[in-house]
Amino acid sequence: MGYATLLTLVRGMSGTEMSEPLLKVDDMSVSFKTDAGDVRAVSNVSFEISPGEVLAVVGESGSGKSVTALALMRLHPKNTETTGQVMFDGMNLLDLPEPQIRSIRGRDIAMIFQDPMTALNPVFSVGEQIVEAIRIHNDVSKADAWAKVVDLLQLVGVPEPKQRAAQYPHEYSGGMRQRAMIAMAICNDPKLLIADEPTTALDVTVQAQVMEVLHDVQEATGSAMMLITHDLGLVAGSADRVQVMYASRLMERGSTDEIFYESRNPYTRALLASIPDLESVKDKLDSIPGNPPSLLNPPSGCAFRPRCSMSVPQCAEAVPELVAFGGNHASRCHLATEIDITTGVNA
Amino acid sequence: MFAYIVRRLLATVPLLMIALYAVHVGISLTTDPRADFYLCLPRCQDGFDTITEAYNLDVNVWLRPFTWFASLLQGELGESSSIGEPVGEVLRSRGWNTALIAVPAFVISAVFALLLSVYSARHQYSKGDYFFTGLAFFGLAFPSFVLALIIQNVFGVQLENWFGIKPFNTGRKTGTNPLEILRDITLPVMSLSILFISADSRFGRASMLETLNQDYIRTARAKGLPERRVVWKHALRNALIPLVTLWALNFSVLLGGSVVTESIFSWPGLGPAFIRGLFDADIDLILGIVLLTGMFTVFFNLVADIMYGVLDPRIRLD
Amino acid sequence: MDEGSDFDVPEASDRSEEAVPLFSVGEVEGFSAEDAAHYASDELEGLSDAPKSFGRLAWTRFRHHRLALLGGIGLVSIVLMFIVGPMLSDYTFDQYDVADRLLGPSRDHWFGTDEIGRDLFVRTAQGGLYSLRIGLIAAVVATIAGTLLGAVAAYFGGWTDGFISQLINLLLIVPALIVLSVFSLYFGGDANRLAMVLAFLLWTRIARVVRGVVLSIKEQEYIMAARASGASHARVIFRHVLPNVIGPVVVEVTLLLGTVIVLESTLSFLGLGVQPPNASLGTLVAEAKGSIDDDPLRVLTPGMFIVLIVLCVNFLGDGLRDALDPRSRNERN
Ligand SMILES: Nc1ncnc2c1ncn2[C@@H]1O[C@H](COP(=O)(O)OP(=O)(O)O)[C@@H](O)[C@H]1O
Ligand SMILES: [Mg+2]
Repeated sequence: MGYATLLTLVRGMSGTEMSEPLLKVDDMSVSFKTDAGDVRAVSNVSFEISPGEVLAVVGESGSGKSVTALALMRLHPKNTETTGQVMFDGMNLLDLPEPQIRSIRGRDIAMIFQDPMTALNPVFSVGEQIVEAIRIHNDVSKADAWAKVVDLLQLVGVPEPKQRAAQYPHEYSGGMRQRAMIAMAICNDPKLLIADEPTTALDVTVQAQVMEVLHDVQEATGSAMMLITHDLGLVAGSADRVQVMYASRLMERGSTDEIFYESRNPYTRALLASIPDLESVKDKLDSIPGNPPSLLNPPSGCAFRPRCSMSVPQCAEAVPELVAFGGNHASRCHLATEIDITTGVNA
Repeated sequence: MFAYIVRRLLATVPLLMIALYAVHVGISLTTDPRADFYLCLPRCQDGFDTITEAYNLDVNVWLRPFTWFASLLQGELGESSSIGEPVGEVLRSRGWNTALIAVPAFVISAVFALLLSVYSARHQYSKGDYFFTGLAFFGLAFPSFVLALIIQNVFGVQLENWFGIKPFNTGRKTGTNPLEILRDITLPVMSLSILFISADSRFGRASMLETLNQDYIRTARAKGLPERRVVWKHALRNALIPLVTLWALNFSVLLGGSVVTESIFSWPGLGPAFIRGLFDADIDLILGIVLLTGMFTVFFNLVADIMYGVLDPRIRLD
Repeated sequence: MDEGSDFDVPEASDRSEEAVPLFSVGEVEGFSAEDAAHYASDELEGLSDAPKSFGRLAWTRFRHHRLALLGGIGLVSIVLMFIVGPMLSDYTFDQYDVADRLLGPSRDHWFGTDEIGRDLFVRTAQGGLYSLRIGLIAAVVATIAGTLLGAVAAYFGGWTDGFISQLINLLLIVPALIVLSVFSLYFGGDANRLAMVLAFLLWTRIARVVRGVVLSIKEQEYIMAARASGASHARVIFRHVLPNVIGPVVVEVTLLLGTVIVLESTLSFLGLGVQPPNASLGTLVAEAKGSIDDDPLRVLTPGMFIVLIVLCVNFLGDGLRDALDPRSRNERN
């Protein structure tokens, strides 16, 4: 049996791949105009998310993950310029009139932000804020909306949801606030959930619980999810596909297995190597030597070159193209085809 | 809540007493109501003694405030030597006149400052924002007396028939007819409002911008709320919190009498009375006015803090 | 102050402290503990990471701040005119000639003459310098006192902090102009003493700012490390704490200068500030106000110089704030 046939078979089995994508981002770039110059935070990024699918977007802090998510919902600050296309339900979100994009926000696409401590308005009760999210998109009475809020809080594991709904964010712990954010995000059964580092700001002890809640509700509602994280470790059990970003560019994408076991990108491999083993006490923070480059005046050629252990002279000359490896797997590296994928990165 | 109020008063009333004590001692140390009599002694011994008696001048300077405090406890504020009426009466009648311009000036400046803050923050770096910011800068650079003189000259003199105010007319011209009152208060209210709008709108803009950049505003937008709702509900409620303190301060300052503006428009409020009292070393009147303004500050700060508690559930007053 | 922030406010402690202030007045004028914390975090960042690039960026931004540049140039021009102008004039400050009274502007008397025939250009220039002098002395004294007291209050905390905070509250309990009036009439007099009276009232604002900044840097590790390694209090304050508050203080002192000039001119206008034979811009306005109907220019000229000076000073202060405040680093178009 030929490789291609096998591939089709495998793809057919996963089912979701065949249907129309829910979201199709095409060649999107975002730059910020600042006093110091233009910062290009997202460069020519293209990707798709299918209905019900979990796509993980991974990369070190500052690589452009949040900006990507915010830009496609048009929630980025005013001083930005966005180009490209974001197709959702047959509409290009980037040039949709304001009222229409508003009716998509919170109803079709909902977001969960990184820092639950600041993402909820301190002067309104948690219940009020979720009720507002329901009633802005649905013609329901306040009482019905409250009832739904209590159910939702119950669903995401907030104890005593009736009393808790009337409380203010500062009366919630960090983990509880993030659960409330999740409740708010799923209150209109969105088709797509964007979770931007949903557990990064939380205590290690509650991270796993919140991830579990997120997963359960995603499965229960059947919505697709774009899970943004800098922590590849978080992705392993939960994502269908992974895409790795670095310095505003997509570095590699593929199924979770392809990224974890057949990565063809030195950056991805460096990230993988930095996932701490359960037993080891390796410090996550300094595991890839050096820092991401400045986006104000990025280095010539491949942005990862200065930190890359495999770099060759060619790397300084041109930004490598994405090289496709059948299916969805693609890597942006001059040496992509030469990387020996049989060597385990954690070895 | 009641306990909180009591505690606040217990903490601030002593401060007010210390301030009054310092003002009393300060004036006593530097002025002598008997100055004119020294030359004619002993011929005018009688007058000298009367004044010594009236001002308790034979009491040590550092102890003298206590006689004032003692009479204050009996509700006695003394007699104003410069106006020739009991201080309580002066405060009442003049205080009423001051309120007549202070209240409208406060309301107008609060409303306009709020509208301008929201506008400028929403349209940061737009032409309109630059325009209003420029105006506010300009307004802030005007000392109140320059502004009041210009307004008086332009509107009161050059356009005399519009408002019918002559420069340096003494006192409110008429009593009770609301239209006439309106005509009389327009110019002083205008002068005061411009100053307060300039200061408040810049502060309000900063507060509003700070708020609009918070994460929860992004959350509100991500919910699909219309911008109007994001601004007027989610942002405003938070941005108002620091503004409340500012407004409390403004109102207590205004009610205490705007020394400059009232003087220039010859408005018979607390301000001109205070200045006159200063020059005449009218110690009872000065203390009366310091007491009144101090009480306003204490009271409105308390009000502001209670409003804080209402606006911000994180703050609990107990 | 304008731009958004993603810094970590030491929220719990700061909030609760600000929650029930005896007087929250100090915060009113646009500087909260959060601003202070922000300044602090940035200064630290600037020190540890890239002091040079921060300094250079600040300078670049200041230069690009057209208004600030305009303010600086305007201020220098006015001061030069005040200094050089009288040298070119044939008249002196108090030389009078009743025959020449109330003249309009002419080649001889650029700004005209006053009621007893003194040359108004020379008087405006000298009065302006007098105002500036009082303003500078008051601003500098208030800044030094405020910085030291604020730093000491925050650094030592406890009883010291309580005392200084109560002192600040005491000065806030009665409107500034009322207190100033009493003290400047009776204790004022010449420029230096008037400046002291002004400074006496105005140190509180800077003290509050500095206190906020120091409170938030006090907890930083390197301060603790310095203490732990046996550095004296004075050494820690001067070597580690004060350098970090210079940014906000420079901004505050500039803005304070504008406030002082307005306050001084107001007091002088009321007859409570500068006394004859000295003159400041405020007394010049007061002297001319009786004849404003016939001759508005005599009021407007010194009045507009106050406005211009304060405008320039405020532009300068705003530019400095933008340059030194990290939050305006992003977002500008
Ligand atoms: N408002 C902004 N103005 C200027 N630059 C910004 C702004 N927001 C983000 N950036 C820059 O864009 C880059 C990507 O940021 P982000 O998407 O937040 O990274 P992350 O991958 O950690 O989510 C960063 O280098 C950041 O400095
Ligand atoms: Mg991010």
